[in-house]
Amino acid sequence: MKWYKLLLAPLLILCFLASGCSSPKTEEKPVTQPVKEQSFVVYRVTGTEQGYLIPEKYTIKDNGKPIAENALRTLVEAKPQDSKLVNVFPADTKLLGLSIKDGVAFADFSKEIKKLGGGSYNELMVTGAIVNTLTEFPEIKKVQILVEGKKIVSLNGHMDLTDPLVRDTSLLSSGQKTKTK
Amino acid sequence: MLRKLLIFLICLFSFALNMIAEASGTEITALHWGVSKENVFRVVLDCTGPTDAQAVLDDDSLLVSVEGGLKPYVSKDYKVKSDTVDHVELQATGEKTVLQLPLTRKLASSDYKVFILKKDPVTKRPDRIVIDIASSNTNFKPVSGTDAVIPVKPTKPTFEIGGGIKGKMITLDPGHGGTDPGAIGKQGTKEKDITLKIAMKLRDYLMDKGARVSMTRTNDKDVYGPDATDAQELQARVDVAQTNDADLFISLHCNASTNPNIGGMSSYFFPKTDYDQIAAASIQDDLTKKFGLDDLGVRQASFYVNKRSSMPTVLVETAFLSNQKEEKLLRSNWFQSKMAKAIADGIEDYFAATGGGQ
Repeated sequence: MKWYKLLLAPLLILCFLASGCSSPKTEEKPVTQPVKEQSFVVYRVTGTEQGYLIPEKYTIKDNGKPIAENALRTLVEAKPQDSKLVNVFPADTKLLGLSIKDGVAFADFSKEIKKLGGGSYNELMVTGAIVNTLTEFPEIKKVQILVEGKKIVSLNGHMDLTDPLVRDTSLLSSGQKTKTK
Repeated sequence: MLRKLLIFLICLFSFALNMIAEASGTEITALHWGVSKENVFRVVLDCTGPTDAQAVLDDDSLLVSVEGGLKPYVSKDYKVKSDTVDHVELQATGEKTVLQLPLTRKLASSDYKVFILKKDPVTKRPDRIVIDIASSNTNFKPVSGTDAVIPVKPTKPTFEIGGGIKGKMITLDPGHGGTDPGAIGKQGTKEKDITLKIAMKLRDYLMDKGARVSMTRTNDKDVYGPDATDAQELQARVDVAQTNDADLFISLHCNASTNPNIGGMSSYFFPKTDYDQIAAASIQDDLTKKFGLDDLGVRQASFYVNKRSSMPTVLVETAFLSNQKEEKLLRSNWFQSKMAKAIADGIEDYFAATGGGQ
């Protein structure tokens, strides 16, 4: 038992440095099986049906980046595979970074995302797509949307984004319970 | 075993680091104010963490210096209603923020109190700095013991429910305006013009029913000022409802989507009181009864005006400007009138149905 203790201190420091202050929970699980592919779901807006977010499945080559970041980057920057689905992010919007701390994902976007026009529907759909895509991952419970590293109040003048958002199932097609009839 | 211990220690270590990070760099995230039943004027500053404050009483103003910065989205000027202060101002000076309360009458040092309320995980209230000023005709009752004795729920003005629409104060907010056109339809219809037209008609219907009505705007203007930030503009609208002690706050909008096929009406609420959803459902019910448009339902959303106001609030999305058919409807006078009438009926139903006092 004693040699364990001797090992502990340097190990602890090493682990901490390697973890880079990010959530220890996420540090624990990844390397269980070395994967060459990543599969994830992103939530897209549909061009035909009424008002719901539709999941679109992607399988990409493992590029060594965290899967949640790849999922979000795909949602924001990639064209949908299905021609019925649309990417509703304003043109040239980029994902600048994604970090996770204590269950809250901090998703940092380039300033183009503020060019989102339209009504509250657009704002709900864009934020809903971000939050529902990210909360597919069990380590993410809430999402704080940032623009160029800073908290913002809203994208086009309706929402209050100062606090992290939780998953909104009413935007998913199974969430019809919020309808009046 | 070793692995678990290790993970535990790492958790502990990073937790401790977080604590340190959060203790420094406290920032003010919001200012609330209100007047209690005892006529005490109270200002509450929500903070991101523990902090301290000091007050200095000048001849004509009370200055409260808070250890901590000011979040950029917090409004700096507030019009308030009390017999001692008519507006308050926040001034950020880097690591400190000064709250200025210009006084309309002389204060003695026993007329005000500044104290700290700690974060309350149960009620989800943050760390706060509280400033209380007694009115000219009431003095403070002596408070024994520590600050914690002072009641914690001060700033919510009360709103009335039930008992019919007569005499109720309803604040109407025609969405957008001035430098902010809101959504724009294919035919060039601007959301700010339609919301104003519907709101003016709605005002008339409500007054006919005996309600009192206040408006965030009655012409084409920004409520806070030209080219304000989203926070300033939205807070300015909430402030109108707050200063009018509204019993119900209605924000009117036209929707728009990148998908031109989408249309319909929806009523949004945020469940901050027991009555937000009831009010939204009541309005949506009348809308769907009177129109053949798609019913997008009563929906919960983190909209600023819904969340930051203290009274029941409904944001009505009348129809879609991005939908060709609905844009045409929204432009027409009869549709605007019918829409206003349906919302007025929904509001009347809400006040008729929600009985029994709070």
